[in-house]
Amino acid sequence: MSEAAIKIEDDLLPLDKLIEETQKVVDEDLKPLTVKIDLEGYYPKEVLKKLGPLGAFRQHLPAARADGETDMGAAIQAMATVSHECLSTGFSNWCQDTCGWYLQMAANPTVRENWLPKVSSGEVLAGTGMSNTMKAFAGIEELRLSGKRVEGGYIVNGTLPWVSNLGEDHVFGTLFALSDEPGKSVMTLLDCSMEGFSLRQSAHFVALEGTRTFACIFEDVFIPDDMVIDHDGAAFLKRARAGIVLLQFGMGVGIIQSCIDICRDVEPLLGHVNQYLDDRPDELQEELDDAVEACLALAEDPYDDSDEFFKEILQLRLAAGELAIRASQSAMLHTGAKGYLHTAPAQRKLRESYFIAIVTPATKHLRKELDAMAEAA
Amino acid sequence: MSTDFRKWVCDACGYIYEEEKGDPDSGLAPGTKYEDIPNDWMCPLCGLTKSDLRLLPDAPSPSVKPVVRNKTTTGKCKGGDDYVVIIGAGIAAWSVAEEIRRNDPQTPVLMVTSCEGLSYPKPALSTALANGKSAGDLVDNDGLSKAEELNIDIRTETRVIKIDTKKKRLTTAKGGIQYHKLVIAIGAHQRELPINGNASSSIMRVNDLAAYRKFRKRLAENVQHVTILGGGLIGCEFAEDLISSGYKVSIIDPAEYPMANLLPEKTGHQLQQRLAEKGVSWLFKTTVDSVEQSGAHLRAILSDGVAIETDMVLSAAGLVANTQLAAKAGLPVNQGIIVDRQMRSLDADIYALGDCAEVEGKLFSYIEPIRRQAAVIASNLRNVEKSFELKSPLVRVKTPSYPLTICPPEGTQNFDFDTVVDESGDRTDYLVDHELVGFVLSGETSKQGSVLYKEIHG
Repeated sequence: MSEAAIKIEDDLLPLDKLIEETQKVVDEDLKPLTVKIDLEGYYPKEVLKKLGPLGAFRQHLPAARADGETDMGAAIQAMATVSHECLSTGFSNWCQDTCGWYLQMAANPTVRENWLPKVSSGEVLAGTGMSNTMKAFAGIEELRLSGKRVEGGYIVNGTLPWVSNLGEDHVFGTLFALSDEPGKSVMTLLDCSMEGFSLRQSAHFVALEGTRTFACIFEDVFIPDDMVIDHDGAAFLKRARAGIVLLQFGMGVGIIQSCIDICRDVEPLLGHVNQYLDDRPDELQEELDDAVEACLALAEDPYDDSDEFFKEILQLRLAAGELAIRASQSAMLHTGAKGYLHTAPAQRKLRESYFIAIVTPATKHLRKELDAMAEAA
Repeated sequence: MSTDFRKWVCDACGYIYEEEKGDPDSGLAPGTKYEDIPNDWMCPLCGLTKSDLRLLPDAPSPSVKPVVRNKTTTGKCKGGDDYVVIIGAGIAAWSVAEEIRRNDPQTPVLMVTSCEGLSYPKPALSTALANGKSAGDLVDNDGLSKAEELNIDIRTETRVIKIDTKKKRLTTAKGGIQYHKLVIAIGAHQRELPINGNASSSIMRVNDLAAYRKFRKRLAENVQHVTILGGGLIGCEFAEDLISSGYKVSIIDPAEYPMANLLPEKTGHQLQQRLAEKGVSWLFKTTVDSVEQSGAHLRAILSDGVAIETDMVLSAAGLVANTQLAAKAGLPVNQGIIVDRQMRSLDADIYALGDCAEVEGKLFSYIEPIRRQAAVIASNLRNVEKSFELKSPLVRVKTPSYPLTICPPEGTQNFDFDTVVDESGDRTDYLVDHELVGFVLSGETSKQGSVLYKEIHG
């Protein structure tokens, strides 16, 4: 990788300072918007634009760090700080981090040099259209995009439903099948302003509405070789998959912790009766702390592309989805009617938490893949 | 006249378009046929287009084949402040559990393993083919049943990612596990040789049942010739097992004769000859540089430029102790996890044994010392101080055409050799000051191993 070609001017904040500054943005800029994001689908662009310059989106990207280190744990913790307040924004943060990861792991240095500085700093906002890819590689559905080799690039057609953190001036990473070469695929970066590409607003969701989620329509979109991340999509996915899933823990850890905190907040008033509930905050905290330990240990080497390592990550990912649902249910039961109010955090967390268990790789996807891995062993 | 209305499903989100009902919200009147849907129509749920609709068959989809395995992995025990937790489920781990239960029915014991926890005799892996046994036939008990018999808990498919020695807690992807005493029995892995080539990832290394299962599966896929990297004990045993079962075998080894670390030259050459008579091709003083795909076959290219057409490359280049987990926890490791004769690591609450443990600079990778180490740990766990006796193991080499029993001499001092050649087999004695300190027996003579071993070690 010709990382030297990317000029990195500043150095990064130490982790505690990064978290402190991220918390400040959360408190001052995000908090006043949370309900608006949730109920009106407001996209907190200004918040993302503040997180970028803090370095929140490039902790895990050696090509975007002066020291050339990979600190996926720091990226996860910064994302958790955001997700603790608002999972919608936390998810946009994940999209940004993950698109940066695609560029970091690109086989093509040109696309990395051209785009990584902009994506890792938040100058360009970025998404990831890889849900279909991951499901296709797990044998759940077919690849929805298909491309043909032409001179200097590919012509791509097809549609992707529900890709997030998008806009006219955004980019995202995705993978398409090669129609002439069965079994082959290509990983690429896509600029939403490319000719033949369009975004369509569609259905509304129960939560995470402020993530600018669109259907993506490809009509003879020409993708030049300069935008290709890897001409071998399968090899790319094997290299990048651990990091993609590891980063998701930023969302999981954040929301689970926030649910525990909601339970704790009502303890002085309601502890006398809440003690009869299951999944008490201390129990959940112990499980979360264990999961965080595991996550940070696994995040130490996101470049391990072995099946054994990926299996660990999938197991932990499965546990995170299950714990998120339990934690939000507990937040509801611990807060009672107060949490049932239209603008109460607990009921929002309840809706948000299902996202952890539903977003790709979803609980059923994880169980299927783990099962297939056990079968193959 | 009834019109045959059809139903269509959106490929992406599962929205069902019923021609009979149409999609009035998007301007499609009831009765609008698929053909009449305009191209700019969007799926009301996900925004995709008409071309993403697939005909929904009238008949219900064929029932899904049920998943046979458990939906949730078994084992939920989280250990506790009074638990002896054993990491691993190989012979070493099971031996410790058995030794603990021999004198102590009470202490809670939890075994945590990244594998399925099946109990099987590992030495049988290299003789199963000729004995007509499948990988499954080797299993004598599943982990859950065996754990139940021993009245211990087990967590399978659960790899320990981290040991926190201060909190006495193990980190796994399936939650934390608390321990009072910890026993590390995570074995070793086959050394990975630096080999290039587009098929280098196909090189097989067998050191457990799961890998052996893959090996047998691959063998059944039209394999005729197997190239074995390493003519040590495991390489030789596999070679004879394969050749006796109709496969062609080549062995590549950087030394000058087989099992050079355990055998005197003369005996080594005897073994070489016997296996050669059965059809094994030997290539000494060379290594493999790369393994390439060559049509339906593989091509192994040696450091001297020679190329071998083969169907499978099996690496048996020696074991490397699994020490990473202990090292990350701050425990001293060398070739193995360093333990004293009580099998204790630097942390008095953590023991290690078997292929992953090093006692006074030595690894004890054979079954007999592992059993003794397990007994030492069990004894020390109930505060009856016991030490592991450092004596060289009795090694039996399962090469039926030239069976060997070896007691390698201790230390590195110079020995006197005394070889007696007999029709029924050779006997080499290692002597220091005329005293027997080790031996190598071959052929019929190898049966005298146990008697001779007692002469040395009592």
